[in-house]
Amino acid sequence: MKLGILAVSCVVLVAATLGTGICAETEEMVIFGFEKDLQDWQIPEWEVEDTEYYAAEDIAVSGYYASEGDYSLELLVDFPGGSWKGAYVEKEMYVTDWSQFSALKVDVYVPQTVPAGLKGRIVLTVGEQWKWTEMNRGIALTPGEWNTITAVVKEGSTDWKFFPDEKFRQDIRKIGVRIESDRKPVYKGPIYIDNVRLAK
Amino acid sequence: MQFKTFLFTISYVFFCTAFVVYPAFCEEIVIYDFEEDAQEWQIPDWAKGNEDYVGSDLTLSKEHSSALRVFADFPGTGVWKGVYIERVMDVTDWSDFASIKADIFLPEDAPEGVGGRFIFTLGDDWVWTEMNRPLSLKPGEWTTISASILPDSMDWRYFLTDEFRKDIRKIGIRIETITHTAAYSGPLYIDNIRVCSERED
Repeated sequence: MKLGILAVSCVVLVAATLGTGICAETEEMVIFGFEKDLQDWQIPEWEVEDTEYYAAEDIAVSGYYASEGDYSLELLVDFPGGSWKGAYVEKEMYVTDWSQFSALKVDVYVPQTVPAGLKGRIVLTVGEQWKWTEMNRGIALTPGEWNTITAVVKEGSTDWKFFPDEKFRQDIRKIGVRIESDRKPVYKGPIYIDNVRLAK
Repeated sequence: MQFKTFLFTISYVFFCTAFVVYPAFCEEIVIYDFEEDAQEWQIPDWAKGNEDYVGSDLTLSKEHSSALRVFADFPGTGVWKGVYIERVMDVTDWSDFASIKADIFLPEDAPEGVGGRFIFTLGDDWVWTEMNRPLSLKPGEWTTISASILPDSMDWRYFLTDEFRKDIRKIGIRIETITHTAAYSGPLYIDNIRVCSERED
């Protein structure tokens, strides 16, 4: 009986130790996991006013779906169909020099009931001129699963509308994610964004 | 006998649960308390000759506990000004620590619009590395400025690598105008510079 209790206790102790966050170093670093709050991500004011092209209604932290931890950013969208519309969220960066990293990754979840056709892309605002810089194509989002959007930020990347030089990743002022519906599908409801991370 | 077994079991469960329920707490180590002297903190020569830097007369003061005192002369003319002090580190490997903190006292007659930040000088190339924003100091109070030095810290202009955390050559504190019309001529006090061993969430 005592040996049994001792064995169970040891298992609990080991599990607790692992659960306190001691883990092997990885090559990816999560910078936004939305575990406690929105971490200052927001729908910018210009988008709220641009109802012709933009369809983001609200954002919040949600515990419904998460690709990392227990929470994610929930973006409420209203895509009416028939024309191109986007739903964009962004965060101003204070850590602007990403020279050590080669790529940015973001996970996006589209509920299973949503028809196929939504796309996602990463948008960066770069440099002293705050230049809007978006990926050259949207990534198809498969409903019912977490989709990872990856954008390579190092010199020579083919993910942007131009070839970035070394300076590109040294002055990242904002990071943004845009979900898009190009005439279809029609969808009003939540999209989930999580596990924003930098990869070496 | 059964009651003893029950007590034994409960005790073990509580003992093990303690590691799950309670979050890691920050064990702080005070590295500079200025109780006896300025502990080799100084205004560097380059700052003395620089018109953007307006600090002078760094000394030990007993006025607001025993603390480092430096005089600032912020003219409030709409131009950024700073007061910078630093100390060369003998212990350069800070990889066991999660954050650094310092307490700064801004006298009551000082205006709002003054902030403080940490600045490190890192590595073989002595790379100047400052926090990406100053933290506002409240007049009449001790304000704690704090910066995470973990690799995912959002407090610096870039993500600190382990390489850098192992080679911190200098530590500096800069008190500066956030609002450049903040005019103040008088003392500032710095105390209780400490490192913390655990992440504080």
